[in-house]
Amino acid sequence: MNGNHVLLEIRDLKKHFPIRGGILSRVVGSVKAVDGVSFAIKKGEVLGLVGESGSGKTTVGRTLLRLIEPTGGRILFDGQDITDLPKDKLRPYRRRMQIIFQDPFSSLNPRMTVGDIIAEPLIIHGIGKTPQERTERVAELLKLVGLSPDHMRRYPHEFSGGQRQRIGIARALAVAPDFIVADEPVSALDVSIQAQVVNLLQDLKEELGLTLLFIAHDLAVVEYISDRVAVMYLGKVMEVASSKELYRNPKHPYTEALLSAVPIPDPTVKRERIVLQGDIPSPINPPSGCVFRTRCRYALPECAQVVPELKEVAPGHYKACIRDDIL
Amino acid sequence: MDEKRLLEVRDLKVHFFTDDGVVKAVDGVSFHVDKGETLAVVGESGSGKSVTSLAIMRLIPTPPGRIVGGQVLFRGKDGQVKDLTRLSEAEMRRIRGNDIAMIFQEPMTSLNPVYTVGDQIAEAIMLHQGKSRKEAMELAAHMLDLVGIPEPKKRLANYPHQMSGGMRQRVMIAMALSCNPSLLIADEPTTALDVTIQAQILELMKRLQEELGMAILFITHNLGVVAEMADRVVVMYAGRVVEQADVVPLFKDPLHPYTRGLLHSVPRLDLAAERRERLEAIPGNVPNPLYLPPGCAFHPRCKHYVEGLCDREVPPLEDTGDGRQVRCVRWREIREVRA
Repeated sequence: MNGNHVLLEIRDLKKHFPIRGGILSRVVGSVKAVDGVSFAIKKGEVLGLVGESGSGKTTVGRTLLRLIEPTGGRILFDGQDITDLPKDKLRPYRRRMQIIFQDPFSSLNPRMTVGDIIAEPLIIHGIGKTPQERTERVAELLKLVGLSPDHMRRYPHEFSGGQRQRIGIARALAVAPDFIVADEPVSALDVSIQAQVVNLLQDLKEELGLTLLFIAHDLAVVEYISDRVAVMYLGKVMEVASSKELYRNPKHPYTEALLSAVPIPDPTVKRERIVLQGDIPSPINPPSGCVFRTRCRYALPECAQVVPELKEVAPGHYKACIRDDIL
Repeated sequence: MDEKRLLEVRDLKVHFFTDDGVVKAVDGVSFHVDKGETLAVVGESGSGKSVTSLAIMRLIPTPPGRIVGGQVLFRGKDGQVKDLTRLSEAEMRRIRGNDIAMIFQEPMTSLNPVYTVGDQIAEAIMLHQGKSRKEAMELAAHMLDLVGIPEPKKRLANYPHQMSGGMRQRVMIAMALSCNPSLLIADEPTTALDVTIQAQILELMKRLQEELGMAILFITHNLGVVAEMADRVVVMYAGRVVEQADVVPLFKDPLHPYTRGLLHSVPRLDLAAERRERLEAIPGNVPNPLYLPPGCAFHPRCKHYVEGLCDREVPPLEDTGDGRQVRCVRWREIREVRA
């Protein structure tokens, strides 16, 4: 496979959650959590997905794994459209697509030993025929994530947050997937532990040739680990570019504001800060036209009329904004 | 106590007596806050930073916790210095809210869901300033206006759930500042908020400090927020202060290996485009407070650890001669090697 092989692609992906009300529980509206998101991830690439709470980044990650069913759009994995595959046909793809969760406390079953937690996907997918084979594989995985094979017999509560996240990573890697969704994998961890887990993911990516969708709200961490970054706001992608380009040269007003809001750990750095007014609007009733226009300092009356398309403004750099005269 | 001192914590010890043993959450912490300045207390989980702030307010849940030693000297609005650890509960109630106010990380859980925000702000004002309900409501509206909430009079009738996280934190700040305290303790006030909302709240706190002149004790784990807000910084690890310095020298020339490790383990957005080297992670884990390592609690994770030197006795918090303090027996050597 060459370097341009697209492993995962989503086209116009939508997830609308119905809101029910009244005595008959009729659908009275919908939360447009994801509203027409498209991107492609090449084999071996790390795509970062950033956004604030309510932007829909987590829903994108779960919908493309079909952990929640999409309302519209297509999901293509390794050239195959998996959007409508029935469960039994989906299973072989499930083996190739895994997820790492944010909270290493609630995502590990407290009644199972670490060995059983990591071996469970092996059993489900029929990998490792004998218990011995599985135990060997678990030991290998524990070493891979920087834990010791002796940890197999212990329970999750005996581990710290960082170690638990390593267990979650070992579980995701157990079935040798090609693609992993890492959903805020370091945000619940202490600062000194975050770097350990980020470095681990980086090493595993190189060693195993993994393709990652790295979802996070911490822009510095996303920049650090990603090749390309997509910025989401209220269910839509606002901007996509290579990580370097996005941070050096943001083209979308939202990205500009978001980057300027991140406090820099250096008291001598003084920057102009763009403080966005107000809150993120409700996804039940998003603004017409560009969803960001209500907080945008460059907004024009036209911004309320049309939904801006994601268009290429420089090679490999896309933005969804009608104003080409700014930034 | 020095004239400009507002708060002086001396050798504070807060221990928790649990079934599994004694947790020395805060074990001999000393620092001070001057009038009108912002002191940041930085640390990870288990460092004792939040327990320290709760102890100052005398809000340690007893049992299992207890202030077992030390003093918390505070200069009241009347200019008198009192040791807060020795005050009666009634005297302490007059200090809380009036002289020292506190805001917390989670503005949803610190507001009462069954009262309107107007009632909650007014309650504090009536209690501490003896104002009538009508006057208190007027002042509450003024406070909401001050913290940048649009249509403050209308918002008084809102319940907390009708507001966003950022708005609720503004309400908390309005309530905290309604009695014009000389010290505001902010315990991770922006941790639960999105970055763009965090930026709003930090700007707000800076503006209010300029207008009202209160000192801020800012508890956080976020070094970016520290760099932005603090005049001075105290770094805590495993219940002790390991370093204390003004903000610029601390970030430029951290003396304690832990401070240095923390600064190097966070990716920097401003340097990102230029260099992309591996993050310098601190190995190991934050120690279990029940079984702290002997000697310097950081030694098992420290790359400058020397056997027989670092694991014997707890190093003293040394004055470095230039207004800084560091708790490391090897700080001189480490600094020389780096220079």
